[in-house]
Amino acid sequence: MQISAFVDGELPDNEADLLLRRMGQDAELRHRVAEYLAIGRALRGEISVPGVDRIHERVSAEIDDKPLEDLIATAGSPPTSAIRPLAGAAVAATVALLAIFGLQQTTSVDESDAKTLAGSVAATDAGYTVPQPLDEQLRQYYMSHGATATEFGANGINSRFVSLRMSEETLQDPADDEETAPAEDTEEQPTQP
Amino acid sequence: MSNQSSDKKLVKRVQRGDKGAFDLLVLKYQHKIVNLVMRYVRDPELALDITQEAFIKAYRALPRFRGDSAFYTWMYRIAVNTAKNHLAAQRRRPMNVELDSQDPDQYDLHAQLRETDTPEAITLSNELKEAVENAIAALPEDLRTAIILRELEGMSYEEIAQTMECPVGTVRSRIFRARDAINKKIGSLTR
Repeated sequence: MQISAFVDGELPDNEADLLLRRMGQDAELRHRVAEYLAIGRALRGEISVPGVDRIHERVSAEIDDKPLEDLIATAGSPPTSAIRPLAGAAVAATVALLAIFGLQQTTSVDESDAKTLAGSVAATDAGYTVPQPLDEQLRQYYMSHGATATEFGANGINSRFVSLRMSEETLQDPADDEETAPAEDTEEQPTQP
Repeated sequence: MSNQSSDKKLVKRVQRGDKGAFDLLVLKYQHKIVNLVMRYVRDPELALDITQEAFIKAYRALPRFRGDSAFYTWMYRIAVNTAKNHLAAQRRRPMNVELDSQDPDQYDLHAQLRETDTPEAITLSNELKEAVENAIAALPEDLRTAIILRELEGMSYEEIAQTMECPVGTVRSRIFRARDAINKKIGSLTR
């Protein structure tokens, strides 16, 4: 009875909503609509072109091939040819933005890292104890070990440098060093760890 | 719900992805559109093809249809343009006077259609008409009156209720029962 009233445009809104939902999923109900419409045309003596009743089937077959989601997704969009240049610009803009934000993020990370590092260094410095002068035996051991390490090339340049310096100079008290070291020799003195 | 209102609801359903709703719109208007296209091309098969193409065009354009005009008015323009494009492609002139592509109600479609009916269509339509008339003659008086007032006189349910001095719900029931009875007798002709 609802379909009959629907065909006449006399179905109340609340009923029509429900019926439309059902008809959208039920081809049999839609066929009933077609039958009722055909009765009306026949009664009025309207003449139809043979095969016209099959049009909805032909159209359905055609549109079933195309997912409606695709059509809806393109709703209100300009044609593809018009999109292409814009799409290129959009990609370029996106890359530029990513680069800017990425750089900012890296910079801020570097800065924060630097601050953290500075803090940790300061903390390390605060806890640092100035080494006491090594006794002669231990100094000799280091010299021998450094020479061996250099010989086998474990840490090439560094080992050579340390070995060379230790063999040429005797370790001094940093306080003494500051007072006695000539200005021109300052650059050549090994830095304290 | 009026026809235009139900069309709007159907359009919205199609726009939300309901293909069945579009099938209903096609069912509702396929005859009118074919008859319209027949004003431009004499060949019924070609008219069917153009009608099919017009509906497919409409389906693809429907996501952008804002509903400023009635669906049928919009569909009418698409069909006329599709038919004209077809003729332009075939370098042929329309066989009849130019129709107003903006106003689907400006001419008597039915009267003009008679000029281009094929013998086959007339035979089939006459057969169906006779079957329906026989089915109506067999209906009880109240059902027959209700369906005739609706289909031939074009009365609303409210007007029929006043004429038959009964509630609108009764009218609704009588028209449905009349259609159901007719459909059972002529089912093979409408399928």
